[in-house]
Amino acid sequence: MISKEIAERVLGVCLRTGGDFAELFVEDTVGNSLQVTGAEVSDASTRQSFGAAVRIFKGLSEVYGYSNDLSEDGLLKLAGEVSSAYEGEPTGGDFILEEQPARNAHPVERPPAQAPNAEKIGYLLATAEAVMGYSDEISQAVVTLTDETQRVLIATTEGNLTCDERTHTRIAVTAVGTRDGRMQQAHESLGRHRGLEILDEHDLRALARGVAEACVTMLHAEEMEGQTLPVVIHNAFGGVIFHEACGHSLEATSVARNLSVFSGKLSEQIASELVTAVDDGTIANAWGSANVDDEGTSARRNVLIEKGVLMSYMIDKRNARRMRSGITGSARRQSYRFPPTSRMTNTFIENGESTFDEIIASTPYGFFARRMGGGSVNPITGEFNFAVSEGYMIEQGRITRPVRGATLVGSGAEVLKKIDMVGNNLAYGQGMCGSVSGMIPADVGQPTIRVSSLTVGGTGGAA
Amino acid sequence: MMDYQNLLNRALERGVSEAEIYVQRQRGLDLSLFEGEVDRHSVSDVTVLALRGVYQGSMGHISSEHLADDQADGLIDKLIDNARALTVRQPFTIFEGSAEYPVLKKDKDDFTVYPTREKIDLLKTLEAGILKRDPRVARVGGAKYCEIREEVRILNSKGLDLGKDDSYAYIYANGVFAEDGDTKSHMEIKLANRFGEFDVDALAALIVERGVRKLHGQPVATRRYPIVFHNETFAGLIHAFSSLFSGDAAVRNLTALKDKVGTRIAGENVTLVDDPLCGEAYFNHTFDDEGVACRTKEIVKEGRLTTLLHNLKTAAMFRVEPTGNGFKPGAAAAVGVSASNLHLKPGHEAPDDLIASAVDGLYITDLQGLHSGINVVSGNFSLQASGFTIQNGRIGDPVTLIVVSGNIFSLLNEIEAIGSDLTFTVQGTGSPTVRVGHLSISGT
Repeated sequence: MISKEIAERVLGVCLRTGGDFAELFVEDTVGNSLQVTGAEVSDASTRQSFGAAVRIFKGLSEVYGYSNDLSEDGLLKLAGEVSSAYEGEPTGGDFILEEQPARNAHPVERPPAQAPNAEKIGYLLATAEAVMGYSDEISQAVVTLTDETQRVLIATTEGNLTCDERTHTRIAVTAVGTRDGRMQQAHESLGRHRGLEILDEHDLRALARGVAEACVTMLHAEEMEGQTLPVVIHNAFGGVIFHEACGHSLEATSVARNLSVFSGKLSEQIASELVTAVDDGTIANAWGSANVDDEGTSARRNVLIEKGVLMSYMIDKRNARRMRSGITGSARRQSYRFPPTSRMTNTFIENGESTFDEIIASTPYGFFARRMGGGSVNPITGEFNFAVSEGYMIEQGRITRPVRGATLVGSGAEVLKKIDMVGNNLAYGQGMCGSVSGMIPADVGQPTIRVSSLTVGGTGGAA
Repeated sequence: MMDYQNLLNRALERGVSEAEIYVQRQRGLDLSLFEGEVDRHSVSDVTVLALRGVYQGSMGHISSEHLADDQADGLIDKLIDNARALTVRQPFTIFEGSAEYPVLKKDKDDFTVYPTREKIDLLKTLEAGILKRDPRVARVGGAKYCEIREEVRILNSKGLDLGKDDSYAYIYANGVFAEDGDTKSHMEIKLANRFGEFDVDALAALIVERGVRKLHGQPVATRRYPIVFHNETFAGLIHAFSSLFSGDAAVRNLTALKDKVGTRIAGENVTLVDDPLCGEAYFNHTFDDEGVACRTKEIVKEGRLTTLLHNLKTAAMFRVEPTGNGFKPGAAAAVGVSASNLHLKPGHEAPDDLIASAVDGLYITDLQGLHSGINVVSGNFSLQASGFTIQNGRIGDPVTLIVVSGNIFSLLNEIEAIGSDLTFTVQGTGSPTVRVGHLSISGT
């Protein structure tokens, strides 16, 4: 995208006013979105994100600037403007950029960026048809294919120049059901750090049927009656609860500033002994994986919690300074418009020993959250909320009635200690995670788990 | 840089019958303070171009930030491929312009003329003001100043050439409060049209007052309670459900209000106004992102739905006039439909009187999960909430980690009293304090 020599000159300008570290991030991203509604192709759009950012550290402070003028003059001007935020003399710090050998642990067979729409549409139409055909009560199907191909160049005054290409392909399915004037939606998506081949590698009809089934089941469900009770959270996207309620509080973004409930708790028991949790950006072709993070550090596997004991935070270069700690390959950003910070990649709770059936059978009365919707957390207090998109009551050790409109609330630190059963059916789900450095693809995952007590809200019952 | 007129001409030469360019340039400054030091200083200058055009009867859309002249043909290739992919037959219009446009008299600063040092000093005063105000202030999680200057140009093959140049700035801080093992946080944001409007002492006082009183909040017992919503909180709920009124949602069968124009959907005391021109709101528009003139509309008048909100396409599909609500969710995105300064028309009651009249009720001051805990299609919501008990007609103990559940359509018919204190949020939605009938609360 730009030459090593230009990168060197730009970084040189960055250090003129006493900065002790500088980074240049250049990006060229092409994204396509294609949508089928019912049996019609209803939307097709393409966008290209193209720009560069420079970042300079001086001790604990950071200056950042970005623009989409990638000419040498434009980049030098940007570097000059950004470095002028500091007043000082160069501190020496000579560097020579060395290109890091490119390696790719996430091969892509059918690159989606320039593929014509005609190669994609058939998959979407067939998936939408499978949703519509599931039941007369399904009134609409919306299937969206998004792909994004991001080429980045990251050069730093530590002497590294690293290039990477990240390809994200995702198909999302929404079913709308209608019955007696009542409407209900269900949603599911499948995404990988991979190309269009995912559309052949996975059973899209099964995905469609699952969404349609959830939609129809919830169309017939009664409203959840608000109460506090044991809650069984299913595997795969159920891991969003750990992601929100705990994962965000382990990011250096909040830990370094002593703003997290888990600040200063390394080596302490913060969760039930049944919980081992990992953030692993190296899983081949997984949704949250990359060869290098957005600071150019190789992706790695970090054990966050082992048997309930806090082992590691997720730490980027800047917060590492504040925390006087090492980095963990966790720096991520949506685009050049965002300074990178510590974020999750593929984050999951490891398998335990219980089977799914054992967990349900040993719950005399409870709530089963089979599919989770979205949620949010306040990392300072750890208070979180999640919508449950498909839920059931558990009565006398059996899954009985479906219930809808349930929302779970709790405090992350408390919930971690209340996990009293962990299943052996680890699976993953794909989400878009929004935080200070923008929206990024993140895998969540877990086996089925049980929380001994949680507040579940809803409008049903006599209450 | 790309010659935009040339890009339009080139598209027409390639067989695109009508075309439109939307270009947005944004220049920004962000300053963050942490523990008395400038923690981050960020500057930006980014231009985004969106191009849409009609090819063989369908409208294609693309956007790009790579704006060199040699990119033009590639952009047009992709535009044509996208237009050809569409099978849905929908009307499309490239708009020649409205007969006239409203004029706004809003006095706005060019924030760039104020020295950065003064902006940093504001943040230092704000942070210090929070820290010194109460012993229960544990720290300030961050104080931030942001300013944005946004220039937009809409240029099309029907001769429309509209431009606007807007700027605004905001400041916010997040206070962290601790006492006896309990921790709470509170964030407030203040947006200004003029630099002199930033009153950081008042902002610090508000953050501390609202933060401290959250300490030691507990869930309440699960049952139904009379509810009073804080004005900004109810505005947040209206915002979350605003797509109910979208003509685009109606086209997609995703709003229950699709066939309800002309019918009663709310109590007679409910009038909802969409007002891009509203002087009290933070953001104003004299034309939408398709160049249609904006105007003030009572979309629900005394309980009756008078119109949905439309862009050019949805208006044509419903055979009505566009309402000037063809807004993009971002410069790169295609035109959708959004409300602008949608608000509940205020009543006459003092907020304190609304609270006093909710016997054994709850005063809800915060809702979380508004992006996930609502079902726009059914109108149901189930949301993490916090606030206060109402005891003897006054605000009582803090309440946290409860879920408030209900249905927006029922709620609009069960508003019992509307306060006089209309306020707008930075999301561009407004409400006064509102007392509603009983809602389900899940707690202990």
